[in-house]
Amino acid sequence: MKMFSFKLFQIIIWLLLINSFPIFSQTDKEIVEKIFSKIELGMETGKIELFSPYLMETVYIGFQSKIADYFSKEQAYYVLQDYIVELNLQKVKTLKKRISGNSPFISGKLISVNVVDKLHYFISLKYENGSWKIFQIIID
Amino acid sequence: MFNPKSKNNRLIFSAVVFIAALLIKFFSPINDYSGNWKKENGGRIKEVVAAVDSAIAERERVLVSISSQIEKKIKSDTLKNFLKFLEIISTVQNNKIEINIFSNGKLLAWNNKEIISSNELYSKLKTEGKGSCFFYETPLTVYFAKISVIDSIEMFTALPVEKKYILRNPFYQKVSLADSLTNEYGLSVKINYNTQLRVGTLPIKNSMGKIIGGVKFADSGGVAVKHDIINPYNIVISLLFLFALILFLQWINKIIVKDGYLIKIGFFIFTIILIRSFIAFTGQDDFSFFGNIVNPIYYSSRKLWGFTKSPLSLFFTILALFVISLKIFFTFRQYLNIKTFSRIAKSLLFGITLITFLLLYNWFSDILKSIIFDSSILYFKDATLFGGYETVFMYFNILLVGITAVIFGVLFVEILSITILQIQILGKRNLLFLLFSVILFFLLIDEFICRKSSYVLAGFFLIVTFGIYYFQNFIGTNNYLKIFSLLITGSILSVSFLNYFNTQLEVKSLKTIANELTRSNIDLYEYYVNNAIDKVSRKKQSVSELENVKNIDALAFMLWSNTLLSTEVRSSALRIIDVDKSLLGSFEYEFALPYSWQWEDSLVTKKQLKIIDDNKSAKLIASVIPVYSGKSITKYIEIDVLYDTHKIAINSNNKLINYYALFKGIPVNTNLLKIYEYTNDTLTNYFTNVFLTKQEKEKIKNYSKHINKEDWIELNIDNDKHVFFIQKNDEQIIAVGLGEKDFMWNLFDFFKVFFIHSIMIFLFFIIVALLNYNKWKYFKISFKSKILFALLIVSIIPLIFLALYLKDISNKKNRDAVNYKLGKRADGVEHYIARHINNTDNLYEVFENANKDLGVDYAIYENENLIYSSEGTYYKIGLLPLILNPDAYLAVKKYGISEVILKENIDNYFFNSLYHKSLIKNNEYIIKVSDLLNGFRLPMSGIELNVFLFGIYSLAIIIIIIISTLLANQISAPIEKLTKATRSVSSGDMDIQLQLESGSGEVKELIAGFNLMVRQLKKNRNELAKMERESAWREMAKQVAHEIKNPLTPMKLAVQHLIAAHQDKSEKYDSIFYKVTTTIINQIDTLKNIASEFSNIAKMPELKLQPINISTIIKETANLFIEEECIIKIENDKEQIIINSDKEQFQRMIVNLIRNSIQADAKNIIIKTFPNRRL
Repeated sequence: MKMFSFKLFQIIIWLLLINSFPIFSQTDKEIVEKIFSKIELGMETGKIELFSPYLMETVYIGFQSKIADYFSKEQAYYVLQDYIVELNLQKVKTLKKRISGNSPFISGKLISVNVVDKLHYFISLKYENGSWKIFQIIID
Repeated sequence: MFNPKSKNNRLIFSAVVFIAALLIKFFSPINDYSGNWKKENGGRIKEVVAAVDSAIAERERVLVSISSQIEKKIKSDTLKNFLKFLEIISTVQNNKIEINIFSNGKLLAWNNKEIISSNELYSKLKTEGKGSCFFYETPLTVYFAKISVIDSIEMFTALPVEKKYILRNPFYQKVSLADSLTNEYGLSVKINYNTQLRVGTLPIKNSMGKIIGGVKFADSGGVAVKHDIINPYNIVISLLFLFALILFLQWINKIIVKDGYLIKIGFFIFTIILIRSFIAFTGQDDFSFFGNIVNPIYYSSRKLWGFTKSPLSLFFTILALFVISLKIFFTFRQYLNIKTFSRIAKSLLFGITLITFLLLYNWFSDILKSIIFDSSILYFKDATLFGGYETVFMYFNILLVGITAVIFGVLFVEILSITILQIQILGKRNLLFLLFSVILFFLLIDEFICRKSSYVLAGFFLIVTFGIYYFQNFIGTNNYLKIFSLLITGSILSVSFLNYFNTQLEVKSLKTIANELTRSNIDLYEYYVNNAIDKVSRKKQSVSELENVKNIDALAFMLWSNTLLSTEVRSSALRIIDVDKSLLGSFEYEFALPYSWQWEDSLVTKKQLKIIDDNKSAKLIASVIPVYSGKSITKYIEIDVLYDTHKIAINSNNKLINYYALFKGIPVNTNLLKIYEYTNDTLTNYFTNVFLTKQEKEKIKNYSKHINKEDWIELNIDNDKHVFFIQKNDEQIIAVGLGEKDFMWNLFDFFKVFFIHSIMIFLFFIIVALLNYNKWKYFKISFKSKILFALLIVSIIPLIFLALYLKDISNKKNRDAVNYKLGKRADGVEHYIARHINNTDNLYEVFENANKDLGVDYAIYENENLIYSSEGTYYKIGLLPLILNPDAYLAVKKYGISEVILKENIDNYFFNSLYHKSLIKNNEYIIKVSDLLNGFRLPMSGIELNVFLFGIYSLAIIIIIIISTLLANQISAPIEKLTKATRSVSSGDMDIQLQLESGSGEVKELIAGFNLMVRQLKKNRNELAKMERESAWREMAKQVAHEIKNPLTPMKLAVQHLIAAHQDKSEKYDSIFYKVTTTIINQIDTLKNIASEFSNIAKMPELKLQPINISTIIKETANLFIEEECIIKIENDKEQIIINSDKEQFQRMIVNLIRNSIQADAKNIIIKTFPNRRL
């Protein structure tokens, strides 16, 4: 009984120790990966609300040379919705991804029903106020 | 079924409309179009082909007309020399056409640039023939051209149809036949400007039936059909459903909502919200048909659950609130009788209203903050007055928000004041002051907790709403003035808040700038390079057909301009390389690295990309792609980009080519920014003309050590307080700051929006006046208004002329200053060259040194050819002609002028060029200096002057209006008093006397005269009345005496006769006695009648009874005493109280009551009516 209690105590201490050492990079990577997945799905389905909670307070949006400016988070939702719905994307093909470092990003190609040529996209994140946020979205 | 008198008509009509809409929606043939657009597109394609033919025919007509004109003049001219040709060409009134005249293989005359070489001309003459139109392609532009031959002279005329390059700046003029057709017809139109037609391409022919090109269409998603047919169809269906809904709600309102104003208000609000929701749900506020006002770029916010997702959507929401505010406002005034509420109910109402007032303030602040922060429109930075129509629309929304807030605010203040005005302890004024203090207290607490704007603005909000409430209820004035005051204060309130939030945005923009400076990294640049190389590879055909291209540099520029390199990258190059690795042509932008083949493979067969990091500050990202002709590689295209974080400043000489505006869309003036970059604790970069002292540098550095990632600090630089945003990224620190005084409001900021609102309010009153045109004949302009208009016209019109004159003078001075500076620079260059030319034979070395030593950018021409330019970019790529301006050539060669200044342009960017004739080593050259390449800082530029004048003159006009109004009031006040006094006299009040102190000079005499006249009138009236009475009495007495005498005489005679008979003891005594007594009795009756008639005369005059509205009569009568020194308050429960009475007598009674009160020194007279009370 005593032995069991001691072992149980050891296990608890280990668990506490493991959790108290923030495995930042691993947790951050998962978060970043999750955000990128939501972005890809959101763009493919036209559902901006999947990734709009991750937009920065002021986010840069560049879109086919039509717009290239900073927008507030509130405004960015509808700006993105308008353009991405208009594009009517068939497929989002990620060619390059980095999920670690100061500026994680994904980039690749977009295949649209309404646009003859393939489009390229680049989306990067920035760490702000304790969480990862979408910093810029460029589609051209 | 349809009974005109039936209450159910609306329900029936609603059902009919609803069913019709359903039937159209589900059974319309248009539903097929969504998947069957190809059928619809067939007809559309025919239309586009016809449009292309028409466009070609039109251009051909222009070319034929102009070339015929020139041909006639050349034929008629005997002296056929090039100067004459230049003169002839300069008379052509079309600034788009290019004309080149050749003879014997030499260019003789031109109107702009040399767009075709003589070799190409003769080659085209062989293939196309003379007089036949064709497409002529250069690296930058495609022309529609024609060659004419007149004797030994060849004339080439051309009109541009397609610009292949893009300049992403506000001056760029797009020319694209393909794009204009795409926009008009919704199909993607591509035009081939050569005769090699691919499969699926329809031919384009000239007037001679020769194929000159081809057109191809694509509509992969039915976009055209959706745009032109399905969207309008959806709008119509939605409107039908909306109409049905409105009818249905109206029916419910009539049938179900019968009694109770609260239920009516509640249902009304529910109706408005339902209609607004329906519009949002069906997307009627989102159709692209409405253009930019549904574009979320101009405004959008996720607040209010999607009801503010565009400017139009915001408008519908604000309009709904505005309508609700009006309904509650007027219903409250008409029905709500708070005075009958119990004390507990009043307290509850007070509490709820107070909270609602605070919520109103919060909502108002939120919405205006959102308009600033969630919109790309820079309301204050943009110096143009109106901007685009979407901007004007947003200005209107801002005005509507302000007006709605004021209406609600006045309503709430009115409710609050009524609930407390029952307290009899304090006077009314004191109660209002107490109420104001209570609301202010809670408002400041709300501001402390919620931080919506500032304490000053919160107080201002309360002052404005309170002020309007006071003005509407306690100052007598007409309804139009009340409406006007409401509208103006709505504007003032919203503009004040807007300015405040704009200042907040400016502060926040410092953070945005810091983010922008750190946004780019190597990964992003790699993306740009990949993107650019892919785009360029789609235009490989242009490169593969290079053999006839004269200017490969221009081709490289054209390719570069179509990529993101032109707007997103600070330093880049695009190179076209021959298969033997030699450089054929290139375009470099801020890129100093020389060309060398850097790829490991000698034969690159597919796209490659690499990053070269040789431990310098800058990294090079390069990509190359081969260009094939068949299976052989003929060329390479290489893109090089330099990623260098240590460069913030941009060479402004190339402002037209690269619109890499580091801080585009930022609301602050970028010239006032102070940006400092530290790397490893050392200041490595800056963007400012203010240099930090050592202490200031240390301060920023030390402060940044204590922050985590970013923070705000205040710093004194040059004795000016600055706000800085500091951002830390590993070893890099960026500090972006602006002086506090540069955040402050200026006159222009306030008056710009206010001025536009004033115009909108003015238009509103014009519309109201037009709608009431049938009442114009009753409209009288008062004496006061006439004086006011006269004063305004006399003051404002000269002011406007003065402003225009000042602007004209300033523009002239600026022009003279520019020309003077250009002249000085040209002289400086000439003297430098003259001093140094003898020391060397290398002219170009001297030219280069002149540029470096003097810091002047210039060009030199020998005859008509450019031989040197210090800033050769624009010439190299063909944006500026390599050949001399023909007007300069004529001025110098024909007229012998030594210096001439000409206005030139690249697209819509206009600049001045000075051409100066100079002798260098006995050869004639022309030095050109322009303000395109040499920036001048003028004391006040055109825009700065406009801003300054607008602000100053707006303030002056406001001051003039205020002073004129006060003067008009003062001048007209005595006349108004006289007018009202005269009206009082005419209604019977003879006791009125005006104060002599209220006038001076002639007016005082007039008042004295009036008072005397009234006293005299009163005296005369009294005397007249007395005289009339006396006369009447005399007359009556005379009549009565006469009437009384009449019966008395016979009575006396009869009695005398009786006495005589008695004395005579007549036998007929009995009959005489009987006769006499009868006579006497009759005469007594007569006397009695006379007495009755007399008493009837003494009765009062008869009353004329009729239904009268005593509320109106009391108001009208009270207005007669408006100039008296007392306050007359009328407390009527109802607007209409109808009784049967004599109007004149009733009015006279009220006059007497009021007059008597005034004479008893009453200061407050309250007239109350109690319609149902039994006294």
